Amino acid sequence: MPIITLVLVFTNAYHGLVFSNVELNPADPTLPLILTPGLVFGGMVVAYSYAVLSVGSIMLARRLLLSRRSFRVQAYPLLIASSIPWLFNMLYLYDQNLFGYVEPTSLTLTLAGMIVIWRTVSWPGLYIAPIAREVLIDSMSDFVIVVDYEGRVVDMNPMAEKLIGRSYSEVMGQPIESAWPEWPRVSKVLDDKASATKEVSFGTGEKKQCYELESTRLPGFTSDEINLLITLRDITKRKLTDEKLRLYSEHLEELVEERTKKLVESEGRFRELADLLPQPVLEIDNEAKFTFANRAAFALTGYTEEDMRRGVNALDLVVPEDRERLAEVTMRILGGEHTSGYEYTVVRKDGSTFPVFLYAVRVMRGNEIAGVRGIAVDISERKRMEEQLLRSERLASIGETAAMVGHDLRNPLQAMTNTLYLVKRLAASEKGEDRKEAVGLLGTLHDAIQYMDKIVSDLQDYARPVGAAPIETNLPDLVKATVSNVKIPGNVEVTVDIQGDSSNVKVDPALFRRVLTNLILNAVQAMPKGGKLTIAGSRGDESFAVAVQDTGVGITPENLGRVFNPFFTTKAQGQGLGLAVCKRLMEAQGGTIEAASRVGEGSTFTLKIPTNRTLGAT
Amino acid sequence: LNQKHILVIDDDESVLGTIARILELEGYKVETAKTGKEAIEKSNLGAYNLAIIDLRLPDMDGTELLTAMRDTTPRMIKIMLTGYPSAGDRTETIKENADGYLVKPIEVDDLLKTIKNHLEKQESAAHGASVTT
Repeated sequence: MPIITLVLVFTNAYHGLVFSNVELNPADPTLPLILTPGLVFGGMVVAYSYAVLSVGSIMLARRLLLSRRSFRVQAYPLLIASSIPWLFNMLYLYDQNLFGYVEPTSLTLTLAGMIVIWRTVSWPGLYIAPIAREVLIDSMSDFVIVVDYEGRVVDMNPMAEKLIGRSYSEVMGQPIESAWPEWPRVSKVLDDKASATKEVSFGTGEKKQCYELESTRLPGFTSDEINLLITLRDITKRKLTDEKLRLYSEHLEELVEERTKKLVESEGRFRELADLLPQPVLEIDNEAKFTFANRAAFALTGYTEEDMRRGVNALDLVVPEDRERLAEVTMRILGGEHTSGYEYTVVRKDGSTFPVFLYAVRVMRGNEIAGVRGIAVDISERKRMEEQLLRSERLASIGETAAMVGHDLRNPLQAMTNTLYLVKRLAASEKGEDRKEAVGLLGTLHDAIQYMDKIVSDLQDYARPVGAAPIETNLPDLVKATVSNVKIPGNVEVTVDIQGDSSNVKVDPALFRRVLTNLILNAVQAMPKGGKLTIAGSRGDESFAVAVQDTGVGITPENLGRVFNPFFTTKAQGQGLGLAVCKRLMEAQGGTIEAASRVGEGSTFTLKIPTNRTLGAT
Repeated sequence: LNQKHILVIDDDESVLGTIARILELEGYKVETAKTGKEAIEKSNLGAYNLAIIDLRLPDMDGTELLTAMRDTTPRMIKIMLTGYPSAGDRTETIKENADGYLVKPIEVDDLLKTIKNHLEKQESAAHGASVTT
C-alpha cells in the first residue's frame, strides 16, 4: 500500500488520482499550494492511514490493559503519541483555518514519530532482549512449540524441529495433529490434571527418550483465544540415572537383606555351636559385665540368662583371692596382649567352687575395643586326676623309698646275722682267743645298729616337714661346739677359722648343727687316707657363710649337679639322703647350701645364712 | 688237700668281713673284693670254685660283673647275695649267668648249705668229666 501510494504520488501529473488539481494560492504565491485531493488520496490513502492508526491504537490500548507493569510504562507514551495525529486531524476537520496556512498532518505525525523513537531508544530492554530472546529460545536445549488457539503451530525452536523431524517452515500454520503424530499423547498428558509430574516418552528400548512437559497459556486477543507455549525437557539421562539409582538401591536392599539373613544364620550357628560345647563360652564388655554366655556356662555356674541381663560382673564369678589377678589379666588382654590361659577358681551362684582354665582374647568392634571373649575349661576332673597322680606318685615314691630302705637295712641285718652266728660259735670255743674275738665282734653289732638308726633317721628327716625356729645365734661358738662333738680320725687335720660377728644372723641352732655335722662326716669319709679339713666362716655383704672344705677324692662334675638329689649316692653305705636333708634343713632356715669340687683335690660345701632379712626387721 | 676257694664280693665291710670269717671257720680259702674291678682282677688271677656276689657295687652293677666274668671264669659257681628281694629287669641276666640268688639277710646255715651243695655238684661234675675223658 505505501509503495502504490508513493508511485501514485510521483505520477500524479499524469492521472490526478492523488491530487486532482494543484495550483498556487491566488492570494499569496508564497503560501502553500492549494491541493485538491483526488480519488485515491481523498478516499483510499486517508482512509487506509487512519484505519491502520486506529487499529494500532486499539491494540496498544488493549496491551496496556493486559500487560505487565513494565510494558505499561512503555505503552502509555506510545498511546499518547498515536493519539496526537487523531486529535489534530479532528481539530483541522472542524476548522480548516484554525492553524492558518500550516498543514498539521505532517507536524503531528513527526511529533508522534519522535515520541515513539524517544520511548523506544530510552527503553533499555530493547538493547539486548529481543535478540537475546531469539537466541535463547533457538539455542536452548528444551523443545519449544507454540500452538495457537486453533491448534496450529505458530512457532518452534530448532530443538523442536529435530524432535518432530520437520522444519518450522514445513509445519508453520499447520494443525499440530498433522505436524506432529505424537501430539495426541502429549495433549493427553497435558490435559491430565491428576498427575503432578507431566512426563512423556517416545521410542522404546535403547532409543527411549523421556521428556518433562510443561505448557504455558499465552493470552490471545480474546479470553477464549488461548495459545499454548509447550516446552519439553529431555530428562532421558536423568531418568536413566534415576533408574540406575533405583536399581542400585533395590540391589542394596537385597544385599542388606541377604547379609542380614546370613548374619542371623551365622549368629544362630555360632550360638548353636557355643551351646554344643561342653565348656563355658563367655563374653564380657569393657566393664567386665557379661554380654554372652553359652548353655554350659549357665549350667556350670548356676546363673541364668535373667541374671546376666540384670548384669553379672566377671570378677564376682571368681573367688576373692583370684579377683586381682583376673582383673590384671583382663586389662592386659584389653590392651591387646596375647596371654596364655590362666587358672581360676570359679564361684557358683550357690557359693560352691570349681577350678577352671580360662583362655581369652580381645573382642574388637571396628576399631573399638568391645571386651573380652573366652572359653573356660572345667579342670575339676583334671585336678582330681592330678591329685590322684600325685598320690600314686607319692605311693610309687614311697615304694621306691621302701625298696631302698629295705635294701639298706638288709646289709646291717646280714651283718648282724653273721655276727650272731660267729659269736655263738666262737663263744662256745674253748680257745681264749676265740672268745676274745667273739667279744670284739659285738662291736660290729653296735655299728650295725647305729647304721640302721641313721638310715631310719635320715628317712624321717627327709620325709617329715621341717619346723625351723631361727634365732639370733653366735655362729662362731656354734660351729666350734659342733666340730668338737664330731669324732674325727687322727689322720685328718682340722682347722676352724670363723671371722666376723654373727649379730642379726638367725639360724635354728639344732638344725644348723645337724647340717654341719653331716658335712663334716661327709668330708671325713671323702678322706679315707687322711687329709685337711677346714671350716671357715665369714660375714659377707648379704650373708654369713660357713664353708666345709676337704682334701678328699672330690666329686666328678657330672655327679656334682646331683649331690643334693634325694637317693643319689656314690657311697657303699647310705641312701643318698644326707645332702638332700641338709638342703632341706638350710632352706627351712632361709639359707642355702652350695657345692664345689675338683676330682682329686677335694670338695667345698658352703652354707649361707642371709643377713639382710634380719637387718630389715630390726 | 681239697680246699675250696671262695671269692666274696660286697661293698659293705661288715657283711664282707663276717662272711669271710664264717667261711674261713668252715675251712674254705676266702678272698674278698669290695668293687667290681677288684673282683675281676682277683678272679683272673686265682681259680675260685665259687663267688658270692652283691648286686650293688660302687663301680658297677652285679649283673655287669656277672657278664664280665662269664667267659673268663665259666666254671666258677656264682651265687648272688643281695638286698633286693627281686632283681627286676635284671632277672634274665642273673638267671642266665648266676647259679643262685639269695636275699639278705639269709641264715648262715642256709648260706653254708647252699655253698656246700653247689661245690659238691661242681665236684661230681668234674669227676664225671674226668671219667668220661
